[in-house]
Amino acid sequence: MGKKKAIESHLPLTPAVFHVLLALADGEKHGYVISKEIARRTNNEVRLSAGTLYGIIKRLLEDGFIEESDERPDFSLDDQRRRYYRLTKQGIGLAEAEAERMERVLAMARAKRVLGPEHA
Amino acid sequence: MSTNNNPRMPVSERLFGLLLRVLPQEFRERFSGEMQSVFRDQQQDARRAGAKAQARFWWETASGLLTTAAREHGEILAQDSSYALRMMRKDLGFTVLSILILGLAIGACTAAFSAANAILIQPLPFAIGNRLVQLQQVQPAAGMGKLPFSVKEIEDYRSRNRTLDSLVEYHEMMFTLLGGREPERVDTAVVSANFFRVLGVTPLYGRTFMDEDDRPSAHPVLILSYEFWQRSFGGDRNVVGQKYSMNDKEHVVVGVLPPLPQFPEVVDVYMPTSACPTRSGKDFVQNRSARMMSAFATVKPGVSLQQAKDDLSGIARQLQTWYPEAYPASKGYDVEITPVREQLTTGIRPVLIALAAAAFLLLVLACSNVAGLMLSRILARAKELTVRAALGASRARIVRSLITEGVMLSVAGGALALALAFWSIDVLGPFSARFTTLASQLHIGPEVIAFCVALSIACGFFIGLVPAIGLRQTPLFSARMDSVSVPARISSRTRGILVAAQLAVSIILLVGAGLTLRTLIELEHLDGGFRTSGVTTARIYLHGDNFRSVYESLVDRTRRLDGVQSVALSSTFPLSHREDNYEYTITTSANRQGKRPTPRPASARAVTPAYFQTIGMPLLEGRDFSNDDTKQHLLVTIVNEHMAKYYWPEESAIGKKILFGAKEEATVIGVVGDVRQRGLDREPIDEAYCPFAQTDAHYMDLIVRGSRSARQLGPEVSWILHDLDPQGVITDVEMLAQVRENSLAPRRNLALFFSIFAGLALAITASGISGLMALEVAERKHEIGIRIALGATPHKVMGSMMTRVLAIVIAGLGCGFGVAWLMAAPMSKLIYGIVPRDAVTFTLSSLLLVLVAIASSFIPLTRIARLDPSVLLRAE
Repeated sequence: MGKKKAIESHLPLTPAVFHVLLALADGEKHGYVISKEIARRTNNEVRLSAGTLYGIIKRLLEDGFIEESDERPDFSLDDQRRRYYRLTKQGIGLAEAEAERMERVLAMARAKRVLGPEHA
Repeated sequence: MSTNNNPRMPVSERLFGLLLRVLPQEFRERFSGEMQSVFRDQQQDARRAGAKAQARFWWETASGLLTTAAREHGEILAQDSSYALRMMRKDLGFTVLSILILGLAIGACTAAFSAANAILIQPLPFAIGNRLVQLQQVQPAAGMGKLPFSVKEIEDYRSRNRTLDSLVEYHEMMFTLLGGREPERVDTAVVSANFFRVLGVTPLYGRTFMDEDDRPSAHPVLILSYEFWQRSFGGDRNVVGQKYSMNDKEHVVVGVLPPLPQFPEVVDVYMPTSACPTRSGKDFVQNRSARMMSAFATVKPGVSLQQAKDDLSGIARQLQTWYPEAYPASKGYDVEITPVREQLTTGIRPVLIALAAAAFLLLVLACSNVAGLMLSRILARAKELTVRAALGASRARIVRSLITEGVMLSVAGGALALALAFWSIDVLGPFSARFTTLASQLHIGPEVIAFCVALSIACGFFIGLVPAIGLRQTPLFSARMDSVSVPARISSRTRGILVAAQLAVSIILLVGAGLTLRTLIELEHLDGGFRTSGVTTARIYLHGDNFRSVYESLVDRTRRLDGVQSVALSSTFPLSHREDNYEYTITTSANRQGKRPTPRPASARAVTPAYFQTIGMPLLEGRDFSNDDTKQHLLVTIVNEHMAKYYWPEESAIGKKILFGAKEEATVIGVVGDVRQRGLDREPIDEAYCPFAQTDAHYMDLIVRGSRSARQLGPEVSWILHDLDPQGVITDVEMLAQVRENSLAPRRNLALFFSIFAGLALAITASGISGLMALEVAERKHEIGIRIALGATPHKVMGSMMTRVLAIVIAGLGCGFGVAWLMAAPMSKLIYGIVPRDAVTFTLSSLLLVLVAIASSFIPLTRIARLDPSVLLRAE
């Protein structure tokens, strides 16, 4: 209950933060891949520059929602400056909580016929 | 950490490396490598997508960095502020003392800035303030400057110039306004109809003058000044349209002015030239030599002062050719122009600069003091700082938190300073008003508040940074911070420098206070050439043609009042600052050597018999005026010693002839002592006194000597006057001693300001020295314990520490003396009767400072005598 409350205190998330969490949902990634995936998934609507991305990463790290991964690809295959990040348990919980929150909002929009059934 | 600037790195990446510097250092250390990698990859994508995508990429990169930087810095600031607040609460004594010291100093600077801003910096509150100039005629060969203009001259310069937009005239007269509750003597400015249009002044109510008001047949109209309207009409807006009588004519009030500083003088009402009986007189208008008016003009845009001057000088040469009798070649003739801003600020400029400099010095002293206190506190908090460093705080982060603490203290001081500055307006306003009418512009506006905030932040940086510099290159974050080691020694040196700086500033302010105080004492004891005790003065304004007989009866009946010894009338009296315009170039009879010294301007004053006796001026030679010295008898005059010695050195002036301008010749019948008429700090000038009965003087001052005060005499004289002339007005009834006191008020205020600054400086420095020694004793108690245990007496240890105090005092005094010595030249404008490098002032100031330094270090040093070495060594 305490953990849930702690997570809820972070809601709602900004679209950028939520997208970073989503990008990491299917596995660990480094900064460039995160930004690339977000741009691709949102059809370039959400683009995160290095400054914005690492501002988000710093805060998510500090709050314990993501962590640095110890596993690194082969030295010859990768830029050594890159670090890989992955979601923690709390991070997964935060992404879920935000998705549920959005779902509830969508349900309300449907009930009020702001959204049609085709969006279901 | 790859914000490097490797020359082989592409320019774009180097630029990004530079942009990264906006982020806090800790953020950079952690993420800059990754960020550069992401930047490079994103940039390659953008390049492939084309120029538009590249531009968008750079915009997003820069704005993203700035947004993140702002958020990160904000977070750190919030953390540091809450930490600083905790620390400030923990050490409340230090916090309160620092805020108080900084508040006083920043307050003094803010107050000085508010005055300098209103008077010296802000444009004049008139539409064309910066192009407004005053024209003055001069006769250089006759030594005559600042000659007023005649109507003919105004007309010539107005119509012939090519460099002025408009030219307006101005002169002041006293008239009696009838129709109110009682007759009122009003200071009246007689101005051209376009006077207010030129100044860009719009009325508060009604209208300003129109060209029709200036025509000879126009109905007389008046405009009231804001202050007079408030004072005499209680701010009643219905006054516009009301009719009043003045100079036996009906005048209609057509407007009320807004509360702007009046220019060039403070008056009660304004009237157009056609309404002034003297100015509109046919003879006066036609007479080229009937000079009474001041002339002001606006220089055309793009025309320099020199071009305007050359243009007007050309007209002056033409006039000299056309009218040789009005402009004799022997006297020379030219026109000079002075910017009005310069004229309005000449008197107060050196005073404000001195005050601002003193306030700035006080600020330097306050900052040094608080920086010293901060340094001591940091040493006391060494353990806590070590813990923070161990937990990962970088040195930069700790320095930053110190600066935040400094800024918070300083901003709190700034809030106090702003309150002080608001209060100071009540003190600085009347003080400045003695020098300039611009004083009415003094207020705490947005620019003053911005100055106070900026100054507070700057002081905060200094206060936080100095201790940080003191700790630089010290193993602050190494082990054993609890013991006195390298940081303590280095900070002890920094503290010593800070205390020396305080001493240096103190000596400068003490010398400044000493010089202004000695000037005041000199002037207070100066013999002005007259005796003030028991003398009452009053200004009398009579209405009607029989004024001579009224004056005669007034003197006669006043003389018969109880306690009155003698009574006289005079066109002006010493220090009254009612400058009479009767200034003549005097032609004298030849002296014994058969030579006539070059004529020079002299003031002529009209007085009644017994004036010299009443005001206490010694009659050195000859006789006083008598009731027989009337127009029907030989014209006579009494000259002052200054004039007699110039024209007739080594012989008696009695019997010599004087020609006042083009008037009739008068015979010298007496010589009186010199009087400082225009100010105690102004040397006597040539003066000739004429019997009232032989002059055309109309407005006179009543001088009464006796055993009664002005408060007692005033109502009785007023009653006599109203009995003699119901429309007569008596004003400014006051003791001559009070007039003399008032004339020294600016000097007294200046000395007071400097003394307050010096007193504060002394107190702050004393606390700085005391704090320094207390800390040194506390820090070195182990070493002291060992020395005492090894046989040194407490007195010997105290002596060695006192030597350090004296070394700091000598260093501080040396620096301060040097600066005070250099500042002597600018200070010379503010002092009188002593030399700027007055040995007495310098010696007494340094003696006082040394005594205070010794006294304030003595109490902490006495703790040494109470130290028990065995206890100290056991503790070790």
